[in-house]
Amino acid sequence: MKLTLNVWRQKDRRSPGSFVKYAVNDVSEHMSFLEMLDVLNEKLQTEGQDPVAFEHDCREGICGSCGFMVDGRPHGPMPRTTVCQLHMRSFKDGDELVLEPFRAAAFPIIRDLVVDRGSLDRIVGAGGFVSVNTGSAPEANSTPVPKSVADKSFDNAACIQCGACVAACPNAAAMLFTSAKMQHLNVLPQGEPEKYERATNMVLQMDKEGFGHCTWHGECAEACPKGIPLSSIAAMNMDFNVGNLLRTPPTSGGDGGG
Amino acid sequence: MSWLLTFSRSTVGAKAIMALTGAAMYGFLIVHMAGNLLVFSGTPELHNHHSVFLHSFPELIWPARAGLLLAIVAHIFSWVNLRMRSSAARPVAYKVKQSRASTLYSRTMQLSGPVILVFVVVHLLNLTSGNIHPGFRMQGAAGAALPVGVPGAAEAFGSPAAYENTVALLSQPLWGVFYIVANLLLGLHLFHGGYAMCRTLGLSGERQQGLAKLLASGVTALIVGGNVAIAAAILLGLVK
Amino acid sequence: MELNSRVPEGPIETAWSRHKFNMKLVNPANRRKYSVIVVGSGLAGAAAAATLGEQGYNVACFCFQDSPRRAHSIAAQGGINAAKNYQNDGDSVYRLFYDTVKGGDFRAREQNVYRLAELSVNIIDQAVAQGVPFAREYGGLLANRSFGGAQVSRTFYARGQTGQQLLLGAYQALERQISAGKVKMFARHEMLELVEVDGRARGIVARCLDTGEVKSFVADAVCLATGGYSNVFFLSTNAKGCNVTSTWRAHKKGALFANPCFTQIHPTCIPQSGDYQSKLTLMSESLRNDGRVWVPKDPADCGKNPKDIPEESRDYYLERKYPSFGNLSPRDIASRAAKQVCDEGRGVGPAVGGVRRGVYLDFADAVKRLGKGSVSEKYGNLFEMYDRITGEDPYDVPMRMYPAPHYTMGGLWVDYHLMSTVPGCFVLGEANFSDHGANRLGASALMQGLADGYFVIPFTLADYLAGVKPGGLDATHAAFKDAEGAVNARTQQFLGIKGKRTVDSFHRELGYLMWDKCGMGRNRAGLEEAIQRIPAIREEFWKNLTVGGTGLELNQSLEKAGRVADFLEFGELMCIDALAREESCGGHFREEYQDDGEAKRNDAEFQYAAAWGFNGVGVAPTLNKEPLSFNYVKPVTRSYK
Repeated sequence: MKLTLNVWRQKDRRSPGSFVKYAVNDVSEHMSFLEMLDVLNEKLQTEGQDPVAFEHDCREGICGSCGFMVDGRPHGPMPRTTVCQLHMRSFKDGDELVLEPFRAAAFPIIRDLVVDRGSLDRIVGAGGFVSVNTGSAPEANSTPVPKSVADKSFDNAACIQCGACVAACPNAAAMLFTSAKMQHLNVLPQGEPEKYERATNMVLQMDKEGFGHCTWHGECAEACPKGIPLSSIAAMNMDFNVGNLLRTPPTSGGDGGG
Repeated sequence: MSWLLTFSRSTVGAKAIMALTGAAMYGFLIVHMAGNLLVFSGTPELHNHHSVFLHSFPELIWPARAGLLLAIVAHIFSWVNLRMRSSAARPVAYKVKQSRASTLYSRTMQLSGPVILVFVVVHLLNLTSGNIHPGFRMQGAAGAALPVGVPGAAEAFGSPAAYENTVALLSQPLWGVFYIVANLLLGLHLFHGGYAMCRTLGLSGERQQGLAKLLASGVTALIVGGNVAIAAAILLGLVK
Repeated sequence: MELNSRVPEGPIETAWSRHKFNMKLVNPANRRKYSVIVVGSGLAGAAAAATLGEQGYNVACFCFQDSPRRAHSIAAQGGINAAKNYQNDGDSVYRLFYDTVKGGDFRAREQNVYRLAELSVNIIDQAVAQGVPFAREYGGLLANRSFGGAQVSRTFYARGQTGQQLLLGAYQALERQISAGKVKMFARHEMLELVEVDGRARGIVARCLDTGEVKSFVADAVCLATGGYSNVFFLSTNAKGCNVTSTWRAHKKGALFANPCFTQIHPTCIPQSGDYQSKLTLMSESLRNDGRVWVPKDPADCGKNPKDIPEESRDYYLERKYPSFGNLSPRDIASRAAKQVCDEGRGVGPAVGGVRRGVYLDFADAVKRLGKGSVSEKYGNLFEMYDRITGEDPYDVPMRMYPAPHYTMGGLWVDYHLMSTVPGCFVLGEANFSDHGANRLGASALMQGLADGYFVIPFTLADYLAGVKPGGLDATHAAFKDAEGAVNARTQQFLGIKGKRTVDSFHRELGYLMWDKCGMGRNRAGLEEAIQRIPAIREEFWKNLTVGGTGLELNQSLEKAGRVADFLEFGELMCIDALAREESCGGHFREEYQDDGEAKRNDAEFQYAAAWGFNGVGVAPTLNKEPLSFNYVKPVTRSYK
């Protein structure tokens, strides 16, 4: 089949960008979307043009590297599918598609379809961990975790940090991401001691990075390739509100500083 | 109190403030609508008495009014704050953007909100101050309406003749339709707002999501249904 | 070169504890004076960087991805072994040790493997404490399953994404140290040179992939945790970015490369569908528990709809050849058998390059026996993934499978301390050669990466650092300037060729050659041919490559060019190693050395690790042998008939 692509081309962080139209012929329906772009890039390079930069690595839908907008949807039209796993049989001959980077102030564009998602790492760094040093762990089976709790934790832990939730959100909010990373730990007994501090620190970091707020459209959960539920945001709100309004935070500096 | 400042400035905290102030306004609307259902009693004096009754507790009504005003201001202030952030969060818009999950209710929140604010101001000018009204009347003794331009009796604390004013206003087709449309818009806002309120306050887990929607739609239907019924009944001449 | 493995003397059961006591320590107050570079942020790298940060060292961690969480450990599906014996089915540290040595076909160092088995239990404790959501029983305790034909249930798992969950645990620990200021993270940085000063590894030169800036980083020791080299085959289950660059550049600076020909081919991957194919996708081995593998008996039937091929015309070749293990035969055996039937012209699915490379994995019987519901419960998500990629519904049409390169047991030679032959250069995880011998057991890769990172390197690195003075060097030293100069010169060379062919076209050419001659089956003639042809491809690469753009920007073609240039040198060494090892063992199958299709190991002549020294591009490398002795697990012939 033949396709026409309108691709956002931008040389670097500072340069302005624009859409450039490319025709791609001989697209097989068995190709993945990224393989179709590989074919385009091979052609561009042999013609002496710069290939379209896009992020990708595992191409199995788990590393979370890939992701851009295909016709206004993060990762394209297939639900629960990253763009590396999206195959061309989802399109038909003659389709014209718009490929655009994820747009958010907290995701500066580096080049073409590649954005800088370092803000998501910093949200994790603000509290998305259990403070346990290597070697100080108790015997694994000493704390039973009910299966339902482990499953709920897992549903959140499935997040691949691709940023599709931010891209889909009309407010460019990172609520679904932040809540998934938080609730993965907050529901577990291992994460319980730091639950409220984690909620506060992660939300404040998310705000500092310049993400927007939640207006409960649900676009994020719909776009999430891993099916993180919207209820994670509600649970995050609960932990943040309780932690900030109803509880006294621990004094900082444990060594008799206060 | 710096924690309160930090809280109210955060996206989640500001949203919680919108939810709490929204809940307060929800409460007011239920009471307001219930009181107004007295137009169906068939006795204007009863409706007017209700208004006098409320006015007879200035030590309650003024704090309540102040509280409500504060809620409205906080609600709007938080919204402006969040709105500015979300505009800054996506400075460059998409060329193409599809919506897959949002609803009419969720998408119109920012439209329905300001419209409701305008409506509230008009409503106050209509029936509280009487600045915009075809023939605003005050109450005399025992709840009887006085002619236009005559100040109210002392024992009625200068209360307007709620029943007569309402009927006189809403029986005019343009005003009647305006009130009905405004209430339907209010309904959009209340439905999504009610649902969002539950989730913003964190009261809504996976299972309670349905419950939140049910609750929001039930209360919305009650408020809007009551209000629209009053306006429609007057417009259609069922209440005179 | 005399290879000193530094393995502790005495009984193996207490070797590591005794050794830990004998090693030197660095006083907690002095640790901040030492700086350590960790290259790679997968299980081994992230675990090492986080742990060293917690202990107080100044750590700099590098990854070429945009976030440390994206390292390829994330894609591991199956699980992680640990000798917890929670199932009370007779498992023990000794049994895990025994199984691993035997599974590696007696080409691994016993003491390393014993330590690995011993540390496996600590890994599970650590991961659970970090919040890794392992599968659990209804009672709330950890669940286990048997994996890859093991006779005990010792595999811990987290749905089909054990790798992601374990990596998230290590990544979160790493992020904690980053925000505490103990680890400085350099994402989107690719290490391009190892720098040695006075015979010790003292830092690296890395290129920032975002801006193109080439910078030197100085440290007191360097840890390489940069994974394997399966992408030398171009098509593999590895992520597109996986490469041999950091280990190869260290090799060129004096680190010996051991057993490069030991590669693992995974039997159940989705076959190639066309020439445009960019990578292969692995499907969990668990599918072979219920699926039956077959091809048509008659090559003329290969193009037919499988439903139209009657039972008597099907060849269930694994069940036929290996009646006792059948469809659950070990990875290397199942892979070779699939290649054999396809080479006979009995493969199925689309023909790529004129050959159909695929075999059926049929669930029709399982659906009949267990019901669709039960099959879907076990394999539903895998079936969905298959459907998404191929557009075929496995409930209706049999799946098509073909083996694909998946893991590399070879790597830089390291001693018991995980230190390479360059003092101060440590190598962790898949990047080293130490623990899996000639074949890795399922669910053991995650175990090794984390054991190295969390529990080995913190001790052995301290022992090294305690013997050296911290600091005393900065990036103005001539060794760093020279290395930066070399990196810049190479960049200019790539950009200056201005030829006609893309990097990918060279990578594909090399990969197909390696797969053909040094893949599942190898023979002298083929290997000699490859050793002839690789230098020719390399020569054309340096003459006819096209890389656009500049060095001072995000330039993905330039990045790839550097990686492929290294594969073009490394591939030759791999073939030389495969040619020199005149026996069949584990993943290395020399067609000349077999008993009717069964691998014929030659312990008398080849019971050693082959550690190759670099003498120049295109110059014959030097073979150094580390003899292996087996005092606990006596070598036997593997048989699965």
